[in-house]
Amino acid sequence: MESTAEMALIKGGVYTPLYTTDKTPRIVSSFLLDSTPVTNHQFLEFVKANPKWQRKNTLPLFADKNYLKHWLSNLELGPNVSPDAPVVNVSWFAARAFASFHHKRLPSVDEWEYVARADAHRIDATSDPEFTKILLDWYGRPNPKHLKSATTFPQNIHGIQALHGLIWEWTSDFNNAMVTGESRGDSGLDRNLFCAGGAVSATDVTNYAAFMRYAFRASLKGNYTVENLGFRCARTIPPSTESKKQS
Amino acid sequence: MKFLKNIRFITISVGLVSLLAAPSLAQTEIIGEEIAILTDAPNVPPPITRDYITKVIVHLEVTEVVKEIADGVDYTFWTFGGSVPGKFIRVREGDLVEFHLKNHPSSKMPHNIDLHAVTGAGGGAASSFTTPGHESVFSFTPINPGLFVYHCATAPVGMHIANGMYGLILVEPKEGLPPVDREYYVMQGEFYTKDKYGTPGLQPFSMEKALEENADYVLFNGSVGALTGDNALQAEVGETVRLFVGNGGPNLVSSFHVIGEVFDKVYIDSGSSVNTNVQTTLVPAGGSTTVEFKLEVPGTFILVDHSIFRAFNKGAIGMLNATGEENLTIYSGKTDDRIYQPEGGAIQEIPQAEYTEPAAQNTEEQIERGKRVYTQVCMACHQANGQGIMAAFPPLAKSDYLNADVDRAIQTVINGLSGEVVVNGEQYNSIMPKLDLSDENVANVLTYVYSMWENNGTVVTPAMVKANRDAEQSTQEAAFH
Amino acid sequence: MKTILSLFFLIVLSSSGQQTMPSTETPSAKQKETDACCPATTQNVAENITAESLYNLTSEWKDQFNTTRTLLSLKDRIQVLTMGYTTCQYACPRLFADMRTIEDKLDPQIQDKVSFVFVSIDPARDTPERLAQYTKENEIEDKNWTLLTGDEESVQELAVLLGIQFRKLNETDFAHSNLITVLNQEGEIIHRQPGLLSDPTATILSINRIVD
Repeated sequence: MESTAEMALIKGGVYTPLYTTDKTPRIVSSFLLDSTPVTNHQFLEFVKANPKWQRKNTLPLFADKNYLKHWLSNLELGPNVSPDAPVVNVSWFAARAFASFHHKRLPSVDEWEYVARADAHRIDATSDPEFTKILLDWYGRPNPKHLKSATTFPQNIHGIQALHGLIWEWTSDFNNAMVTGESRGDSGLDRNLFCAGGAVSATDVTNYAAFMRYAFRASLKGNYTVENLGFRCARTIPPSTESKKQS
Repeated sequence: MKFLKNIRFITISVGLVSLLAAPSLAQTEIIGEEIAILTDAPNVPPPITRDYITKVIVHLEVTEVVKEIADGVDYTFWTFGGSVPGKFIRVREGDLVEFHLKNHPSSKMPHNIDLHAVTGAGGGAASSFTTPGHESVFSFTPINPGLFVYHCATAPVGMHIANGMYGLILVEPKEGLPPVDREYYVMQGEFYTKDKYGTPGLQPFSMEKALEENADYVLFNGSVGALTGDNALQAEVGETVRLFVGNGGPNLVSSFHVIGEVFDKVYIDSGSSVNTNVQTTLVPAGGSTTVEFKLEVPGTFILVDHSIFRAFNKGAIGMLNATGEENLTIYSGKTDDRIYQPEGGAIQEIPQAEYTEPAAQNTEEQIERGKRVYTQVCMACHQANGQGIMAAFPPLAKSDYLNADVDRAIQTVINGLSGEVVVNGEQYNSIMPKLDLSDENVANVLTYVYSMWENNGTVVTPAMVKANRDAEQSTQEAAFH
Repeated sequence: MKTILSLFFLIVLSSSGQQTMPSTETPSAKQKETDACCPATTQNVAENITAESLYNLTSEWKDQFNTTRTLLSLKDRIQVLTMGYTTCQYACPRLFADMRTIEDKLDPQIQDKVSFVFVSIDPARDTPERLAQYTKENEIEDKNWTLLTGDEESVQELAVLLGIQFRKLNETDFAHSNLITVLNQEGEIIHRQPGLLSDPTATILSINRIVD
C-alpha cells in the first residue's frame, strides 16, 4: 500500500461558484489532485512518522477530543477499521500537516468544487437533474457503519474517485466560504453588507447538493473532527512544468 | 435594547445576561434553574405551576434516523429528538432559556434551530449552527407568550424541513393557560418522496416534487397511522381537550378540522385573539393554532386537513376516541332509514295499487299472491326453489330455522336480520335488509314459503304480522342501534 | 462563534475600478509549497505553554522592524489583536480606531500590561517596510503596537484559530471579518469583540478582570 495516493492532472478552466459576490466566473489553474481520499493506512503511516500527530499527543487547539476516535488505539486501527477506507475524524490542522509532510497541500474550495461538477463523461454535469439527484440521495442517507474503499467508486472524467458518495472532505480555505450556513441570513448578509448591493448570493438555488457542501464547511472549525469528514491532497504544478504541458 | 438583543446572542455568560435582561422585562430576578421536560408527540409536558421566572435548560439532540413513514415504506428523517415532530418544549414568558443543541456524531449534516419564540436575528439559527458530533449553547428570553414553531434553518432550509426538522415550543403567559382536562400535541408536515404514496422500500427525498409542492404524504405526527387505531388520542365525555396544532410545512397550509366537533375556542394563530364556535381553522406553514373543545358525546372524532384529498389519499388523518355516556339529545345516532323516492307519485302508485287490492280470501289466494312477492323480492337471494346459496344465503327449503318459530320469521321479514344464524346445521353471517312490505304481503309471502319445499305449511295472517309490528314498536328504536 | 461573527461581516470593495478575476493561486503559496518540508503547525513542547494557547503555533512572522519572531514573543502581556490589511480603505481604519478606543479607555495603571497586535492578511503587499510606514501614518510607532506579516499558510492558520474569515476579491481588495480578540498573558482567547465601531465596554471589562 502506498503512503500517499496517486495524483491526477486536473486541467484548469473557469467555473462559477455557488456563492459569489458577483457572477463572475473564477479561473482555476491546472493542478494535481489525489485520485482517492487519504486512507486509514496512509494516515497511520503518517502519525507513526510524526508522533506529535498521534492521538495522545495532540492539543485540543488543533484537534478536538474525537480525533481518530474510530481507531482502536494510538497506533492501531483495530479489527473494525479497514485500512483502505478513507480516514475520518481528522481535523483541518491534522489534514494540513499530512499534506505538508507529503509535499502536498489541501485543495481550495474553488478547486474542489471545480472538480466536483464532473461525472464520468462531462466536466460539468451539474445541469443534469439526474446528477444532482444521485448526490442528494447520498446526502439524504445516514452514514454507513463501515466506509468502503474509494477505489470501488467509478472515476470521473478527471480520473478522480469518490469525490461524492463516500465522505465530506476538508479544503484549505473551508472557513472562507462567506456563508453562515443559514440560507436566509446569507442573502441578508449580502444585501446589507456587500457594496454591490442586491446581489443574490447563490448562483443556482436549485443546486441543493452544493448548498449542503457550503453549509457543511461553514459549520466547521479548524480543530473539529467529524465521523464522515476526511480529506485528499492537492499539489500545485510548478510554473515551468505547466507551461511545458501547455505548449 | 439593540445592545441587549446582541448580548443575548453573542454570549452565554449567563450571569451577565440575566442582569441585563431583567430590567427590560419588568420582572423580578431569575430564581433557580430547571431542566426542561421534553415530550414526544402527541404528549405535552405538564402545565407550568410556578409563578416566577427561572432559568430553563433545554437539551435537544438532532439525529438522522430511518423510520417507517407508512406501512413498509421507510424514510430518512432528520429529527429534533429522534422523531417527527420534534420534542415539545414548554417554558414560561420571561424565563431565561439556555438552549443546548447537540448534533449526533453519526449525522451527515450540520444543523441548527430557528425558534419562532426567539426575538433576535435568525431566531437562534446562527448561534446554534452545529456540525456533527458537536453541541452549541445559546440563550434567549421568550418575550411573547404563544405557541411557536421551531425548525432547522440550515441551507438548503427547505430540505431540512421537508425531512422532518420542526416542532413546537409553548411559551405560557405569566398567568398560565386556563386549565383543561387533556392536552395533546399534533403537528402536520408533508413529505416528498421519489415514488408515489405507499411504494414500499426506503424512499429518498424528491427535490423536484418539493419544488412543485406536490406532496406524496401529508401527515400528522410524522407517519401514516401515528394518530389512528391504537395510537388514537383518548378522552372521556365531559372533558375539555386542548390541541396544540402546528404545521411544519414545508409548503402546505392546513385547513385543520375535527370531524364531528366544533372548536369551542380557537386561539387564532395561537395568538391572543380567541375565536369561538369554529369549524375549520387555518394553520399556516411555520405557524400554529391552539383549539379547545368539550366532548359532549362518545365516538371517534377524526382529525383531518380538510383539503380533503390530503386526508383520504395522502395520510392526513388522526383520531380522537371519546368514551362515555351517550347523549341522544345532542346526537341520537340513526333513528330511521326509509326509502326516499324524489320522483314520488308515479313510482309510489304501483305499491299503492297493490295495496288497495282486496285482501286474499283464502289460503290458496294467499299462496298465489305470496309467490308473486317471493319472485320479486326474495328469489334473488333465496333462489327459485328456496335452496339459498351455500355460505351466503340460508335456505328456506326444509328450513329448521324457519319452521321452528313463525314470529321470528315474521320479524325477520319486517325488520331484516344481520349477524350469525345457524340454518340446517350451517352457519350464515350476512345481512338481510328489512323489507318494506304491507302486512298483507308479509303474510302472503310467508304463507307461500311455509307451503313450499317440505316446510310445515303454517298459514300467516295479516293480523299476526300486525301483532309483531306492534310488539316491536316500543323497542324498535333501540333495536336499530 | 464563527458563524455569529460572520453576521458582522463587512466587505470591502474600495477600488473604483472593475474587479479582475481573482486567481486561487498566489505566488507565495506556490513558493511555500515547493520548500515545504514540515508542517507549519507544531507544538512548543519545550516552553511552558497551556493547551489552549495560540502560542502553540510555531509559524514565523516579521514585524514592522523587520525582526523575525514567533507568536510566543507576545507572551506575558495581554494582547488585543486584529487582522486586516494596510491598504484597506474602509473597514480596517475603523478597526484601528476601535483598537485605539480600547487603548484610550484602559485604566492608566494597566496600560503598560496591554499590547496591541495587527496581523496582515495581505503578505504580498504588506512588507515590513510597509508596516513601518503604516505605524507612522497612524502615529503609533512609539506605542505598544506590533504589526506582523507572514506567509499565506501562517495567516490562514491563525485566521482559522481566531475564527476570522477572509477572501481575496481581486488584486487589491479582501473581504474579511471584523473582529478584535483579547488574549491573556498565556495567549488564550478570553474575549471577542465583533463588528465595527462596537461598544468596547465588555472588552475593557474582560481586560480588567484578568488584571485583577
